[in-house]
Amino acid sequence: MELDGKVALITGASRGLGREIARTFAGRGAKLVLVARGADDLESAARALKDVTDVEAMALDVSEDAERVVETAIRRFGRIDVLVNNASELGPSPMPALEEYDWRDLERVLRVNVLAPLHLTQLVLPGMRARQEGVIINVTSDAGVEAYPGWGGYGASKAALEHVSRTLAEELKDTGIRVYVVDPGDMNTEMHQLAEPGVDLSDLPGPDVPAPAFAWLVEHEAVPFARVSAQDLVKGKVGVSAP
Amino acid sequence: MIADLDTGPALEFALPPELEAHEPPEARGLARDAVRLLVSDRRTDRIVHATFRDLPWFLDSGDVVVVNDSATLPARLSATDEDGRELTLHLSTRLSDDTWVVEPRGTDVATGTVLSLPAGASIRLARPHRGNRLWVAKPSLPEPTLDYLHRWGRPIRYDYVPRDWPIENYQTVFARRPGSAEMPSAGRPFSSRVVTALAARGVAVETITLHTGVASLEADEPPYEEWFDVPERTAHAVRQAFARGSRVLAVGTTVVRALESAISNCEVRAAFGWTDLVVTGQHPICSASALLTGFHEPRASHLQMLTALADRDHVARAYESALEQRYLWHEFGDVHLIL
Repeated sequence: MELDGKVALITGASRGLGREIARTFAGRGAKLVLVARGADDLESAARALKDVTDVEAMALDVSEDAERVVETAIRRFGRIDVLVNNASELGPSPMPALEEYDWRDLERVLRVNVLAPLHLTQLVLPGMRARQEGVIINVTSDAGVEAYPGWGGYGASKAALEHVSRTLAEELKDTGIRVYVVDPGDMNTEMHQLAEPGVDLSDLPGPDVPAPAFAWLVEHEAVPFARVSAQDLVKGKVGVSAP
Repeated sequence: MIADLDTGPALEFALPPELEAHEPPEARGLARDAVRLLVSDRRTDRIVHATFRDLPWFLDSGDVVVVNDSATLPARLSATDEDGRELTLHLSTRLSDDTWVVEPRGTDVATGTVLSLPAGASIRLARPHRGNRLWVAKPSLPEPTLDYLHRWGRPIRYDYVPRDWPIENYQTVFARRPGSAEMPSAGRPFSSRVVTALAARGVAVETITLHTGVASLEADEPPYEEWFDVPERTAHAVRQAFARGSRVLAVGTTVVRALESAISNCEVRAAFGWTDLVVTGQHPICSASALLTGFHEPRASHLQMLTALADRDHVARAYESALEQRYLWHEFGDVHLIL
């Protein structure tokens, strides 16, 4: 699917990886629906892209306003071809062991990282089914696979999101709708700094490094489901076709 | 491509044959509600390309959607004339229990001609009806008309639909009262899930009845008289919607015709009977503020009706966009929402 002229909804788009995915998609001609909670950062992200493409920016919490997000997007653009569930809630920082984890904090993590992506998916699927085309990308983490002390809440949410994605892919077989789970890898982002306060992250790649993998998946990947390491993809393949 | 906008009698454009829907969307692998939806805002001229299932997103709580609950009859019969020639007969409009307006297709007939119908039935052409295409006729059938039609009739179809489809393909989810010769097709994309989504959003769905006759074949002919019924419940809902500043969305030109036929002092009142009203750009519409409709052929009278709601330039712009984006025309095609 060419991104040119298509409509992509990206959550958590005001900073870090989400903002870089938005920039990459804009450069390839996609119209953008950007959602994030922080109005100021979102506004600055949107302003930077408005000369490049059509942008609808909504300062909302996807775990509470999924319907409003999709309604506004459909009213403006009529369709959503690509959904990137990138917004993530890390949980308390520093990250508590599960033994100490306040269940209310965990509930919030699961709401933002599992339920909101599924809710948005449910809302965009009818149109994708009708067009027999669409891509859903859920951003995950290796904490969803490996067990790291302190990462239990976040990791459980990403494990759940991955399972949701795999199940969706099974249920959407032969519909033309593709589902990808993408692990962006370690990056030097604000979120990562929150997860590991005081640790020097300056040697890690910035979020601009894995971002082209998302465009590559939309435009070139053929399989209906995959779990992908973005940085491996960028090293291996994306250099060929991405900007 | 679209010319003659300001002065001409009708919107003119060339409809490429590949943009004709030749079969129901289900036969193209699409759900009923998965056809495309072109949304055009007549105030801003903005155009959005969406999917019918997303219709509720374009409406607001308090809006009222008015649909036609007329069910489609299998109104096409095989007939034989007195010389043994086979022809097709379309039953258009039921004037009374034993009198119909009919259209014999593809043969010359005269007053008094008796056509033979299946199962020993027959029909006598009593007199021409408005010109030379339609006839007032009296059938002689072995059982009640609706039973007979369901046993021997098939849905009326035109050249762009190459084969017969079961009558279910010609019923909308709202179909309650049998009587239309041709499907009120703007209601076809509605599914129960779309209706449920409208209800959840606070959008009411109200009904009128208008039994459609045979198409005026998209030429310059005006439509014929049709029977309609606007119940008080619907009239009330429409008045209330306007009073609180909500939209009234007419689903199909048949609904506009019925509602406009029930107008008094620019307010919708309960009414029923025969209407010969022709809605054109000459008279602004009082009874609806939005319209959902299929894509109409060049010069069609239905296209004229659109200009009663939106100005000609707006309709032309929307049609240009529909042609460019390759929307599908006719009763099994895509739909256009004018807000």
